[in-house]
Amino acid sequence: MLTLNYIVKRFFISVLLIFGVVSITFVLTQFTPGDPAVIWAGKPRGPGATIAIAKAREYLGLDLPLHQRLALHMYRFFVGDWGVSVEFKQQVLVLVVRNFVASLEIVVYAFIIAMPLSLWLGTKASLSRGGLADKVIYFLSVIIAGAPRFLIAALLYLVLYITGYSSLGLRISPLYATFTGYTGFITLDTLLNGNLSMFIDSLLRILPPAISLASYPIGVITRVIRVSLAETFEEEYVRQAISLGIPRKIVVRKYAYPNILSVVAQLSGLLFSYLLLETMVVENVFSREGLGTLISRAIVASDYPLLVGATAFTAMVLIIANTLADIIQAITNPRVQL
Amino acid sequence: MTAQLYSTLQDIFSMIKKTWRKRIVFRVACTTIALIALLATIGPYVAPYPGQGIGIEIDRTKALQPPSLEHLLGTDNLGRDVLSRILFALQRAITSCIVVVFISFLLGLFVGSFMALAPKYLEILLSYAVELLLALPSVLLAALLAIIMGGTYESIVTALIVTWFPWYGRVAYLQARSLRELDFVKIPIYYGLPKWYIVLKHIAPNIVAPMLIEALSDMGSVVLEISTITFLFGIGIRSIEEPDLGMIIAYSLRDLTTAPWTFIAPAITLTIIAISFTLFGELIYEQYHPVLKKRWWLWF
Repeated sequence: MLTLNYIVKRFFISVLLIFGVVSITFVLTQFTPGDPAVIWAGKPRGPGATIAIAKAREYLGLDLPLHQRLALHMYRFFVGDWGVSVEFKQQVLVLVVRNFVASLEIVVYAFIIAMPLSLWLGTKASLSRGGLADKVIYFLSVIIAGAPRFLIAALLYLVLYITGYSSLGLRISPLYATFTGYTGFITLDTLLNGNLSMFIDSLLRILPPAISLASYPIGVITRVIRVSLAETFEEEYVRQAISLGIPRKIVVRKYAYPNILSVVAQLSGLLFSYLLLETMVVENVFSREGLGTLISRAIVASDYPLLVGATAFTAMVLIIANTLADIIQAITNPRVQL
Repeated sequence: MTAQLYSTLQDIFSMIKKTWRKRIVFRVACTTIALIALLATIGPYVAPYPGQGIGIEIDRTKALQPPSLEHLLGTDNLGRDVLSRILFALQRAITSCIVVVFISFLLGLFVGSFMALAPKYLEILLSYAVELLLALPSVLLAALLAIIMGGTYESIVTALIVTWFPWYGRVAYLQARSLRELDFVKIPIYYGLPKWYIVLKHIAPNIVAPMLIEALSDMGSVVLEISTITFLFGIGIRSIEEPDLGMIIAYSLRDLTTAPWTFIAPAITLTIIAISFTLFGELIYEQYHPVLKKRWWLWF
């Protein structure tokens, strides 16, 4: 019952936070230094500039009183009318969602790769604390998590380039350029379509960036699992289980793992936000389309509506991810609800 | 106040000294940090080719030479000495990182400890605000500010401060909340002393030492994040000749397959900075962790 209470409370807090995001976008669009309309129109120059600025002024409603502007902004935000991109001449929400999904796919694959690997490594390290295996795993994890993502991605790229790996760059081979799916996750779409060769092609293309991105969560989660498992082995109930002569495998899996689940859940929520940042770097190195390429093109064109939309969308996704992580943590470890 | 500051510094120093005695890797990390700090201060004066380091001298005939005695780390696509470029860029990276960490540390410390003393409604409001700021993606915020502020380096620094200080605020808040139930904080409140005085005199000195260690170990990540932003968008640069680690890496990526040294040298520099700061924080944490200090072998 306590858990349900907590979940409901967390849910309302996250709704509040999303309202906070809306108000931040309101401040960012309406109270920029200088003329907000000029910035919204993408700092236009040339003969059409005055028309573009007048249009932006009308869109932002700069002549209206403040409360009406706020109401208009709120209404537009939740209806999904986030303005039209200056650079791409498309609805911002559509653009952002499409590219965000492309980035999210890499993050999901990185987590799929990282989770089992870091669980295995962390367990190995914490079972031999102070030993050689522990030291090797610890320093390897520090190095791969500490190294900048562009170094790891570029080294992988270099190796693959030299060995003649052909599936680099685009999300799917140009042969299948006409393919469109429903979800936007290209590997899922091809699988749903039942086209196996396309699925393998897209999988081969997503694996190198996903592996180089996964190096960060592998390093961090391994370190955290190592610490929290070592703490768990000191707990009374685990010592009791060991003294009863229960085999090590069962002690680790049935007694120790449930205790660290909540820590790992919380950490994954935090990692998620950092990985979204790192995905942009990895995409840049492998020159895949995604949030990173979208934003770097938007900056060149001073595409303000697109950037505000991308920031708001990403912040919203992060809030939802953190809420989910908190709820999982609360279910697995009722003490955090206090 | 000065006596408290002195004792805080002594705390930190004794923490570092104790870990220094026990761990060899910690010594290596500390020495590397000291070396980086030294190079960042004197780098521009010892760089072999200062003109090329700033980026004004270009010699296209010497483009993309592999490392040799004349150019220790080789030359880039415009014939500039990579070592000089890195030395110039290092100063800039370290300066901005210190500014970001220092300001967000102070801001977080005071916002966090004020939150613990503030009235209930303000406390709740501020903790939601902190959670909201934590959800903002720093890279996108930097990009937004770059458009508003005209793409200066300050836009990156501002964006990073806005997204980093909530972390320190949260840590300070959690620690100050456990302190406020203690007598030495309660009694001055009953005396009616002003809040800022209690924060300065009674709360901050007690939470500053562990937070400062954390801030120091975060410096590596801040350097990485700044160069990631410049790498991605090239904002904060007045001209492409300007030395900046992120920009150097971004441009060298084009010659990755033909001249990997132009990429690897700055990237390894960044890696060393990040890893040595991380190790610095982690090893102190392990030294002061009751369970982790124990060494035990597989015994079941």
